[in-house]
Amino acid sequence: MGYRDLTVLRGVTLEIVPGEVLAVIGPNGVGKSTIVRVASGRLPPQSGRVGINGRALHELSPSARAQLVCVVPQATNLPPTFRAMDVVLMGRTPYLGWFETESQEDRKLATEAMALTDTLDMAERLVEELSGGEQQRLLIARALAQASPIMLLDEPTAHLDLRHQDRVLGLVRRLAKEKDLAVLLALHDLNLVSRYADRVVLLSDGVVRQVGDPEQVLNPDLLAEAYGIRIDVVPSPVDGKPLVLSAE
Amino acid sequence: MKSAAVSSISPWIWTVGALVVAIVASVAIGAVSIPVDAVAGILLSPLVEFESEIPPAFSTILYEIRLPNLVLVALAGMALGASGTAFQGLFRNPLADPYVIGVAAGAGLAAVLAMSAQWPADLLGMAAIPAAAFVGALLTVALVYALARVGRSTPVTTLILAGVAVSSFATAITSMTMLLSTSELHRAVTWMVGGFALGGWGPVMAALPYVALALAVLLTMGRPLDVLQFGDEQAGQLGLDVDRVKLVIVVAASLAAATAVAFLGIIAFVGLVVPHLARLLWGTSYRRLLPLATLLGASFLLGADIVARSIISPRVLPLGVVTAVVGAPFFLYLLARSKRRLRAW
Repeated sequence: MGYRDLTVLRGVTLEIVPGEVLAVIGPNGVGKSTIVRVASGRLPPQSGRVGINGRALHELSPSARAQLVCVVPQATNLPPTFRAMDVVLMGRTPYLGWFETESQEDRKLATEAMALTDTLDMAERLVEELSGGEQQRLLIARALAQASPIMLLDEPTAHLDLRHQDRVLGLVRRLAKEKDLAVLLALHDLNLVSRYADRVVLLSDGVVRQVGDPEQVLNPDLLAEAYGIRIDVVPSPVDGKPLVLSAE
Repeated sequence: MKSAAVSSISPWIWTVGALVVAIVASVAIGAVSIPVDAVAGILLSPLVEFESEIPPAFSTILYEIRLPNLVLVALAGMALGASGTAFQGLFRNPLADPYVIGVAAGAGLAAVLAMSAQWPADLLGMAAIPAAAFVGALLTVALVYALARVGRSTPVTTLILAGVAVSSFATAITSMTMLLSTSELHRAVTWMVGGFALGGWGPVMAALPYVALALAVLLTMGRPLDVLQFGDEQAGQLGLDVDRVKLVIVVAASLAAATAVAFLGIIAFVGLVVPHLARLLWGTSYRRLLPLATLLGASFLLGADIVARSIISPRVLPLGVVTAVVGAPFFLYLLARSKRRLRAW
């Protein structure tokens, strides 16, 4: 998979399962975002297929696709003067014709999504008045309003501080379990991966290097090879999960 | 700061109120001024018996001159308001309008070429001019878009540079055409400075179907335009058929702008100022913006038309001169007042 003449990734076979958070890790430019774009159906794979329950994703109409897969982008460049509620209501787009406007049912689903993401009290505020963490939770609410069984997230914590990183990923994990969502998460921060992912895919040099649970993949030798630096992994004093440290 | 939770009804009261005032003023003011009660008397005469005497000349002026002019100007104002709003939403750029991106000049060139073909000035000939202008507008959009496009996106700077370049080129060819076709020169010059000298209901009937069609399509595009504000990538992920929606909007917005140009000449700034004003007053949701800017466009252009007809009366100023003189400083004022919000765009 890749762009026009450029093949970024080769021979990737991944399965996302309902109720599970699958994290994609790897060095910069390895194709984490490409996997998200291909999995969302926006970018057709150069060979092979992306399917959901046996249906090829990129052959579906945009609205049929969006009913199956939602994407949470990074909270940058959102239209500043949109009301928070209106942002979430955009998640109902795949269910509305061009000439339709949201029904009471759509508003109810959007309100529920905002309640789940703890954003309901900001419903009437403008995007520009919200912090980065609040905007990110709003985008998760929008994805929930889309009511699709698969959720893809591309670096949802890139611009967030420590507290908001935990809030956002904790929320994603909780939703995966409660709503039985299949979650694919592209993430740089290996320690967040260690805490919040059920399974991890390590990419390097355009191929899948390893798939497995965090304890298996967050292995110092594997990581050192992929990232090209010496790496130490120790059990976290907080919860005993792998803690990844640069040993340079 | 003020939240966006402004009453959803008050903008409608303001815009409809402004339109009613503009309509009454537009009918009453002119070379012969007709008292407002006489206007009401004439318009309501089929329904109500009036005791007072109304000079029959008033009735003729009203039905044969003022009303057709009013409807034509209002239609053009609505078309330009809606078209400007749609282009701004489409290009996610508050400076896009039919004039800036060259659509107006392209439509103008095609209209002048059509006029120089010496079609008769009957209804059919008149309907052919907006059709030609529409084709010109579409070709211009396609050309400007192709020139402005960098990879997958359309940056602000290249869009405006391409618009200016294509606009200048089209204007130059327009001038040349007008100079070469001496017989049609008078008609074309009159058109250039503010529309047909013909007057009457003919141009109204010719313009109506085009404007109605364009507005009918554009006014349903509010929600898709809102989704597009998140960028093509997210809009696609939200289930919008991005390419199709964009095509429909470009075609309808070009048709609206082209029709206004075909009947009233190149009128700058309406498509720029009107959506801006609506946005500053009532927020950025295109679902509200499109209908409000459409109504506001009619009021704005009617106001400009009143000024054009009365400021050096009995002579008439070109409508485009008035909108530029009023619109440019007003635009600068808006720009200065709202720098913060514009930056945020």
